[in-house]
Order: sequence, then C-alpha cells, then structure tokens
Amino acid sequence: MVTDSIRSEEACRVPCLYPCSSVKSVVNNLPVSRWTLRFCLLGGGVAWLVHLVGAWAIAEFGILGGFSSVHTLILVLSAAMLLAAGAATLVSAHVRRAAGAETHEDTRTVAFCGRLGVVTNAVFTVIIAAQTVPVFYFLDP
Amino acid sequence: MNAATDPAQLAAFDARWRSPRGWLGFFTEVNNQQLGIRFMVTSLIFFALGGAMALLMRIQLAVPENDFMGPQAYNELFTMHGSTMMFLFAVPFLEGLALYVLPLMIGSRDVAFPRLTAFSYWTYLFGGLIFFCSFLTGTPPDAGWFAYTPLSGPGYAGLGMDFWVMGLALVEIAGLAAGVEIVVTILKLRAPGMSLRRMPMFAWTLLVSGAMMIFAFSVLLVATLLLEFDRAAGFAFFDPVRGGSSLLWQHLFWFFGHPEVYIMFLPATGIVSTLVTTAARRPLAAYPLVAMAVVVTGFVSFGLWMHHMYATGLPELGLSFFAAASLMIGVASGIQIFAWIATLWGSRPRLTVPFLYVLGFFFNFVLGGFTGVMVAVVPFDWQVHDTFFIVAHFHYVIIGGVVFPVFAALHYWLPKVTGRLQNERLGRWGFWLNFVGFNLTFFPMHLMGFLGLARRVYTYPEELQIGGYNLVSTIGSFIMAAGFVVIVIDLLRSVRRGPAAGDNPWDAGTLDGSMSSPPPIYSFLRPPVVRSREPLWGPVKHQPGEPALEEEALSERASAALHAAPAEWRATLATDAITGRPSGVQVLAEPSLSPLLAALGLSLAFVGVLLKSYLLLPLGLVLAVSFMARWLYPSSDYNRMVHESGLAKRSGLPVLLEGARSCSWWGMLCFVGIAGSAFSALYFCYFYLWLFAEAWPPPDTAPLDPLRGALTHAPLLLAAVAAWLAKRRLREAPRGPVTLLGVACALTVLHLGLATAELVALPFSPRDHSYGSAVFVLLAAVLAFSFVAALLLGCALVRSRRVEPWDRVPLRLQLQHTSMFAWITAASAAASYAILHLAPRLL
Amino acid sequence: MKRTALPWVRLLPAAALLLTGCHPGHRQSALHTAAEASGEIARLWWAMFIVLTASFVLVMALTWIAIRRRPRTDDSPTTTVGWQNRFVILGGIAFPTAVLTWMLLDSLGTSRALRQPPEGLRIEVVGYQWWWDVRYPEHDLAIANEIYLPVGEPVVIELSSADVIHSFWVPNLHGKVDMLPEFPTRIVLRADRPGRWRGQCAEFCGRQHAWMAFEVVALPREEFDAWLAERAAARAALAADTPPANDAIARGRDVFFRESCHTCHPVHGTPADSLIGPDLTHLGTRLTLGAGRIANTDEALARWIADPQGLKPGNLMPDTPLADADLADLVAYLRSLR
Repeated sequence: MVTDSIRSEEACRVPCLYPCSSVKSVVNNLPVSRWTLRFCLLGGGVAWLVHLVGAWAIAEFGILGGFSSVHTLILVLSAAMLLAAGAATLVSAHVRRAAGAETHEDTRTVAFCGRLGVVTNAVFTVIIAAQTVPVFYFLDP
Repeated sequence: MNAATDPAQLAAFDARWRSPRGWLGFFTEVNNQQLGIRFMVTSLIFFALGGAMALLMRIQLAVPENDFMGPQAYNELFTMHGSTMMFLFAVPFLEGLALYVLPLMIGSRDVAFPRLTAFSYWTYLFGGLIFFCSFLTGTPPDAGWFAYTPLSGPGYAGLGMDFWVMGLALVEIAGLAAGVEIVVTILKLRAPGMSLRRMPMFAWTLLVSGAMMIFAFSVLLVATLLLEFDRAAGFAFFDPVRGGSSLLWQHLFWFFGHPEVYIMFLPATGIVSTLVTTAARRPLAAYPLVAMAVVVTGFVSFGLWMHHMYATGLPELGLSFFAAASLMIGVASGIQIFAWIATLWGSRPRLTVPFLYVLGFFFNFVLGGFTGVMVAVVPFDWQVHDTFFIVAHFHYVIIGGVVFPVFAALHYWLPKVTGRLQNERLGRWGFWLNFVGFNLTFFPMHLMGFLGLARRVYTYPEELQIGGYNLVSTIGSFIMAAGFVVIVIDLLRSVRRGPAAGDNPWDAGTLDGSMSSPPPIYSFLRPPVVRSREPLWGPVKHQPGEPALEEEALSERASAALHAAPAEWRATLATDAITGRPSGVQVLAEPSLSPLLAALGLSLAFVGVLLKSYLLLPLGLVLAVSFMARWLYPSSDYNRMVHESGLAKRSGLPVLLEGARSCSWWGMLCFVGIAGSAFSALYFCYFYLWLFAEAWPPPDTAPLDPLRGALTHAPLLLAAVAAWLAKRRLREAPRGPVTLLGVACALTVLHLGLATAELVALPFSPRDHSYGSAVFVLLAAVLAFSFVAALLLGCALVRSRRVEPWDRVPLRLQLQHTSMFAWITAASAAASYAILHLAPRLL
Repeated sequence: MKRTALPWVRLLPAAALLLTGCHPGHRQSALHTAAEASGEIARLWWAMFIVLTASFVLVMALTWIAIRRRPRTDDSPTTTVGWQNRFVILGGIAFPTAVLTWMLLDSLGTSRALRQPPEGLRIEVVGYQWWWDVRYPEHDLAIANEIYLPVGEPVVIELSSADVIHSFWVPNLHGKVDMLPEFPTRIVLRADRPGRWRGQCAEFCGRQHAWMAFEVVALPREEFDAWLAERAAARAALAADTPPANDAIARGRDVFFRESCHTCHPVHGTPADSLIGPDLTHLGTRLTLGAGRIANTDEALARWIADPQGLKPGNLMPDTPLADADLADLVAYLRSLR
C-alpha cells in the first residue's frame, strides 16, 4: 500500500502531546521526553486550576459544612501547588536550555515551547502565591 | 509541476471548488469564505437590532420618572439587548471573521470541517430566529440575559423564557461547533513550516478562544437544558422549595459567563496584535510573552466566575481566592498592552482608519480594564455590584475592547473581502462619532452608579439627582448610533463603487496579503510554505552554518503536488500540530444539504419543547440524527478514488488519514472535552445541591439499589473494552474486529434496555425533590450517550464486514473514534454510578 | 481592627463633589457616606482611583510617545528585541503585579476591617416582589419599606426572600447583600450620624424592580426609644379596640373590611391577619407608599388606593374603585394607624 509505506517511513521527530498515530516515534535525537514537554506546557496551569478549585471547595464546602481546620488544609494545598508550579518552571527552563543549543527546526520549536513554559509557569506560580495571601487575613476567627 | 501551466487542470480544480449554483446551492454551501460572510452579515443585522433596543432604553432613561415605556417593555428590551449582543452578535461575528480570515492567514484552503461550519451557521440562524420570534407572540423574555433563577423559573417567567432557553440552546450548539472547527483548523491545517512559534497572534488568540468555547458553552448548554427541565417538566434543580438552589444557576451561568467575555475579548486582542504589527511594519514585540499572556488569560478566565457572586453572602474566604485570581488576570492584559506599545515604539505608524480604532481600543479598553480590576476587589464590589458602574465597566470592556477591534477588523479586512477600498473621510467620521459618542454614553454611568442608580431599573426618582448625567448619556448613545450608520453607509458605498483595493492594501506581513482581493474561493492555488512569522516581509535569514532544512524539501514537495490539485476532490494540506511539518493530505467535504436538514431537525425538536408539542421532539431528533448519520457515513467509492489518485506518491504524504494525522481525530478529542465538561457540570450540580440539602438523599426516599445499578452499567464497561480490542485487532487482521464489534454492540444494546428499565422504575419522582431530578438527569445522560454509542458501534460493525484495501485506513479511523466514544460512555457510566451509589454511603 | 486613612484621602470626596457637580443632598450614594463601613469602602475607592488614574495616564502617555516618537538611528534588530523584552517584562509584568498586589492587600485589609460580629439590635427584613417586610422581633413590631435604627449602634439585619432573589443596599451605610430564597444572609449596619437615606433592591427581581426602594432612618438612641414606645402605644390602643377619634375613621374602618383590603393586609388587633401584603398597623407614619414610589400624604394615599396599577404597574394590589366619600374615609382610617 502506498499510503502505509509512507506512513511508516516517516518519523515523528517531536515528542508530541498526543500519540503520533500508530507511528513509532523516533525521539532519540531530542533532549526531552513527551511527558516533560507536557509538564512544561501545562504543569503551572493545572496546578493553578487545582489550587483555585480546591481552595474554593475546601472553603465553601468546609465552612458551610462546619469542618474545622479549613485554613490548614488550604495552606497545605497552597504549598503543594506552589511547589508543583515552581517545578514546572524549572523543568521548562531545562527544556529550553537542552533544546536551545541545537539548530534543528523541530528542536527549535521545542525550545520555543520551553521558553513559553518558563514564563507561563512563572506567572502561574505568582498567581497561586497571590491566591494564598487571603488565607492569612482569615486566620483570626 | 506541470499542473501549474495546464489550463485543463486549472479549470477542473476551479470547478471542483466553485460554489454550488442556484437557490438550492445557497442551502448546500459549505465554503468557509461564503459562510464566514454570512455569519458576519447576520451578526451585524442582530447588532443593529440590539443597538436599536439600546436606543429605546436610553430614551426611557433620559429623564427621571419617564413614561416613554412601561416596566414590562423595558425589562423585555434589556433582556433582548443583552442576549442579542452577547450571543447573536459578538461571538458569531468573531466566528465569521475567523472562518473567513483564519484559513487565509494560516495558509489553508478551507476550515477543517466544512459541513460542520454550515451546520453551525444554520443552527445559529435558526436559534436567533426562534429567539426573535418571541416578539411575534408578544412575549419576549423578561428575566435578563443572565436569567437568574427563580425569576426565570416556571413560577415567575412565562413563555418568553422558553424562547430564550431554546433559542439560545441552539446558538450554544452553534458555538460549540464553531469552537471545534476553529481549534482543529488551527492545530491541523496550518501551512507547512508554520510551527507554533511562527503562528500569527490572531491564530493564537482564536486557538485559545475556540478551546474556551468548547468548555464554556458545554457548561451553559447543560445549565440551560436543566432550566428547561425545571420549566417544562417540573424538575426541581433551581427551586429552593423542593431542595433546589438558585445559586446553582449562578455558578453554572457565570462559569460560562465570565469566560464568554474573554472568548470575545481574546480574538479582539488578536485583531489588535495583527493591526499593530501591520501599522508598525515590524514583528510583534515579545511574541512568546504575548502568546503566554493569551494562554494564561484563557486558563484563568475560568477561575473568575465567583466574582459575579460577591454579594451573595457566601463565605468570604471562598470569594477571596477568586478576588486574587481576578486581580492577577490583569497582568496578562498588561503584557499585551505593553507589547503593543513596544511594537509601535518609534515606528511612526500611519493613522489609517483601522489604526484609529486600535487607538480608540487602547483608550477605552485600558479604562474598562482598570474599572475591571476595581470590581474584582470584594468590598468595593459590594457597593458597585449591580449598579450603573458595572454597566459602564462592561460596556467599556465589550464595546471598547471588542466592538472597536471588530470595527477595526471590518475596515481592515473588508477590502480583502470585497476587493474595494473604503472612503477614508467617511471612515474617520465614523470613528470619531463612535469614539466621542461611546465615551459620552458610558463615562457618566460610572458616576450614576456611585450616586445610587441600580441596574435594570426602568426609571429612577428625581431625588437621585442623576437626570443630567442620563441626558448626556442618551445624547451620546445617539451620536454613537450615527457613527454606526456612517460605517454602514461607507461599507455599502465601498462595495458598489470603491476604488480597487489591490492584493495587500495595508502592506500586511501575514499570508492573507498574498492573495488577490477578493481571494479565490479555494484561497490557495498552491499551499504556501512558511519560513517566518510574517512570510510576506521575507523569510528570516537562517543562522550561519545552519544546515539546509530537510523539512523544507518535504514541504516544497507537498506544496508542489497540491498545486491546483487534486481536482477530483477537495483537499488541503494537513500539518503537525506543533511543528507545522506536513503530515498528510486532508480531504475536505463538498457541498451538502445534510447540515441544513440536521440543523432544521434539531430546531424542530427544540421548537417542540418550546411549544410543549411533544410530538415534534422525537420527530425533530430523528430527522437530526438521520441527517447527521448520512453526513458522517463514509463512502467506499470516495476512499477508492482518493486512494488510487497517486497523490500520495506525488506529495510524499498519506492521503487517507487516521489518528492524530487526521482532523477528525482532533475533532473527536474536542468532543471528549465537550462531554467531559458537560458531565462535570452535572456532577457539580449533584454535589452542590447536596451541600445545601439538610439530608441527602432526602428522608423517606426509597434508596437506589446498588446491585441493580452495577448490573445495569457493567455492560458498558465491557463494551468499551470490546471496542478497544476490536480497534487493536484491526491492525492484525482486516476482518478481525467483526466478532468483537458485534459483542460490543450487543452489550451496549443490553445496557440500553437495562438502563431504560432502571430509569422508568426509579423509586421516586424527579419532580418531588432536587435529588430525584439530579439522579434522573444523570442516568438519562448516560442513556443518551449509550444510545449514540450503540449507533456508532452498529455502523462500525456494518462497515467492518466488508473491507476493501482503500477502506482500511478510514475504517481504522472510524474504530478509533468509536472506541473513544465507547470509553467516554463507559467513563460517564462509571462516574455516575460512583456518585449515585457510592458517594452517599461514603460521605 | 480600625484602619486610619491618610488625612488627604479624606479631602478627596469633597474635591470630587466639586468635579462631579453634585451637592451633598445625596441620600442614595456610595460616596456620601454616613457610616464607618461605607467610609472604608469609599476610602478604598479613592485610593484605587488615584493609583489607577495615574497608571492610566502613564499608559496613554506611553502610547502617545510610541506613535509620535521618531525612530532612533541606532535601532538594530538585535538590540531592539532585547529592549522590547525588557520593556514588556518591566511594564507589562512587574508594574501590574506591584499595583495589583497592593490592591489585593488593601482589599483584604478593608474586608477585615468591615467584618463585624453579629451582635446588636436584630431586625428581620424579608424581600417580596416588590416591597420589604421589616420586623423587630425583640419589640414585636412589624413595618414595611422603612427601617429605623439607633445611631452609633450595630444593628444586625437578617435578610431573606419570600420569592425571587432581591438585594439589600443602602449605599450611604454599607455595600449590598443578596436576599436569597434558600438561606438567610445578614448585614451589620451602623450609622454614625442621624439621618435619612434611601435603600434600593439591587438585584433584578421582576417587573417593578425599579420601585422596590425603602427608607432608612437613623435616630439618636433616646428618639429611637421614643419611636418604639409610640409604636407600642399605638398597637396597644388597637388591641384594646379603643373607639376611633372621629366618624370618618370609623367609617373608613368599615370600608377597609367591606372592600376586602384585609384579605391581603394585616392590621394589629383587628381580624385583618393575612400576610400577603405589607403590614398596615403603622401606615399613618409610613414615609412612602408603594416601596418608595410616592411620599405618604392624604392625597397620595387616595391616589394609591384608587390606582395602584397606574402608579406601579404589575404590583399585586388591584385597582379599587371607590366612591369619593368612601375613599376619603378609608384614607382617614389608614392615616390614623400610627
């Protein structure tokens, strides 16, 4: 089959965010794995989402439901999500460094993703930090 | 290569793409340019209608205790004005603009799913018409565009709200379709070489906005359908007397409503980025930062919904997280504004009419953005919430931040669409009338809000001492209306006798400038190969010592093979989502009547609900489903033609696509997003109702039988596994999956029977308590998915019994989709089971 | 925790009044404050106003310079890109982050200052389409569409709704709080000086949302006590079935029952005990009629009884066609309910 032969000949050079159809990816010449790239692009955003929805759910359901230690729970969640977003920032910086040296076209796209990841995750870290601040204003009953 | 000069080939190619003729042709049209224009024209008509309503309201408010109109008329007008502008103008106009401009900008011949485009247009049109039909029956909706329950519920609002709910549900479906369309087009149909880092900023904003539409509109669709369940069938989701919650509606509505603002606003910033770049004649400054700002805005806008609910008396700690997020989204807007300033710095841009609108946008949007961060501040919002301060704020954001860029886009791209330039003088008049009128209308509203004017009041007493401000505001609104009339006159005038525009009247760097004005219907005779972010401003030089790019050879070969080809079917190049490397030749659909008929069927079903004539509902649904099936059912002859064309050999690319190479696989992924957020919304409803309930399930409710539930839903899990195995088997043996598919199909049909029986035999009525309503709707949703899964599996079973060589790849794709759908269905069943049976026992 | 504002911030409202051209008769204004809570919010507003106006001017000035400035001769692509990135990071990230962080902190501090323990005189306010039922449970007192408060004392207003969502808003005293049909909410008000302000329903609640207003009257403690005592005395007189002061009132009372006014409106000490409409026990002292629609005078009351649908279309009260004499008697009776 014409189509099939072409399909299998071609290599998927970039670690994709999605399975590259049924083609075996050849990613040996790239410095980062597919999961690293996913984490780099989405880590901060997901951490932020978990933090916001989690903190809100703990506050709303916790206070209306009459649980104690709402604040402690939120602070623990904040610390965990700050760590996650910070880690995503560092990983993105690594992706950018690792891919930045090469001149291959696809690798430069990966380096771009790394750059995008650094700023995105840094901003999300700041937002999570900002979302942590209110807790301290509600500690006294 | 020879094709380029072969007139016969050119003629055949042209004929393949030509729009269908005759009156029937109008209804079968699927081309992106034609439908884009229709979207824009229709939405501008709705804009004029909404604007006229606003003028009537301004007349009423011009002086205190005016009796120009009564309270009922006023309430109807502001409801219709808000809903029209939000649902029927802003988003559809941007969809239309995206449909027209996006393929030109990213170098594609059409959008990814042409028939879905047509379906989207028809559902939008029918939804809008149903919505406006409420004027014919004399009962326009009167509960506000936000339709807060219980005021919009069965106890307080009449037939008008049914028009609102059902009309808008259709428009939401249109929005979902457009969202999928835009996302997949941007991810898959970019010109070869256009990697993510070379994508025009307009495409970035549309990508994020399209993804947001997928999540936001699906939640709104769920919310409106639940409201209609309450209204038409007496369910109790939003009725506090029977355990429902009026706040639940606010959560669902604003979870959609806040992102909605950014769904409109982000493409508007994309327009501004494009125009600033063109005006400055240099690339956009800090491109990665701007792309990041767009992505972050898209994300964070989903975390702001509670800031519409500061005054509800919910725990303040919970609100304060949203206050922090609402403030921090300002950073993302700051990045964009400073990037535009940096781009313009010292570039001495010419003050063309589109650029004047961009400057107007700067002024108005920055002002509106600043009042926006102010209202994110909880205590301050307690004062200004639901006052004219808010009216001023969001008109600054939506008119200043969206409509001004839209007018800029109208002036900027109209020469491309019509081939004729507009009149500079008229354009300037239009701008200044709009700018001055807008600020006169809305600036005084800030003060009115402080001085006690609440929103949505049809009149106000003289002692508030705001009559003067209101009069100024009314005068301003008429100046603005005059500005709009000037724009329309200019537009019509230019279409008839404007001077020829030339290919690139603004010296833009994006691909749309490379084409004649108006562009050919297929946009690109030869798919362009892109080497830089602004391809028309010349390729960026490669770094010294950089190897010649093998991708470029690949791209050039593919591009040459598709020069004026294929002529036997419509096709464009598909590329990789991240790298923009060519990955296949994507087949595009040809004109068809099915989208119209499917949309008609759906509208018929919705009108049936609206009129409480429940015969129309199944009739309409059957019509819709059968025409969708007809439209989706693959044709073996077609596959054969594509397969045997030799295009694969010439282009070096597969022509029958599967998996992530195929647009439809990505479309399916978007559908998973839609289904996921719709089910999440339902689960949220269940838990939220539980939170406010005294006992859950309510006392003296017969318990659900966990064993029966498990037995009912287990077949779906097995069916999903069987479908997945079938997909895997197909790789090894062409006829392998038949048995497995048969098993999956039978299991799903079994589930259909069991689940229907369970639903019918529920030990409580969905009308008695919100618990019953929630259980019923959750089970019914699983049932609906199971029904579709059964249809898909049946279709796959029929197709897999006879597999020609050219059918193998398409069948694989079909099984990938079917398997994915079976998994969603199984997952929804498992989650519903856990929530209905396990959660009340564990928590 | 009490926050002290910079003294010059206090001057700003006066300056703003000059700018906006309004005079200090505003009875429904978030800027003409008469309580610490609304004062704190106004202070927050003026602080934000100054900082953000300065930022607005800065951004507009930068835009203006950007498009007017001549290109520098030494602009090369590489130096430009570096400069652009620094500009965007500084102006677009650092600057907004600083401003917004300050706003967040000031906002949270203000919220904390506004938080009040729910202690003090308790008043229950229930929202109806489109009027306010006001009860003083500790004093067995029911009035409508007006709230009397003692000056300088916290008053806990318990809010709920009998039908759709309403919102309780007296801008001169505090921000707004919604009145929900599913659970009660509350707001603690404390007026710092005697006065009379107008409140307004702030959540769209149907046809007559515009005319769902109320009056708030803050009295010094002695006057407030006297007001309570007068109301109690009036109720005692009604309960004792004291004979009416004149014939007109007696006839008006008959009209009241003959025309079935009592099927909706309760009057203390009479068989009228329905709970559909506002309590008329103290109608004679009511400041307004129709929830702020018109001031309460003999003529206004006659007009209201004859044509409530003309004055406030859509409200539940039907037009009651009465002979002129009957109407005058009914007005005399109702105005005698003090």
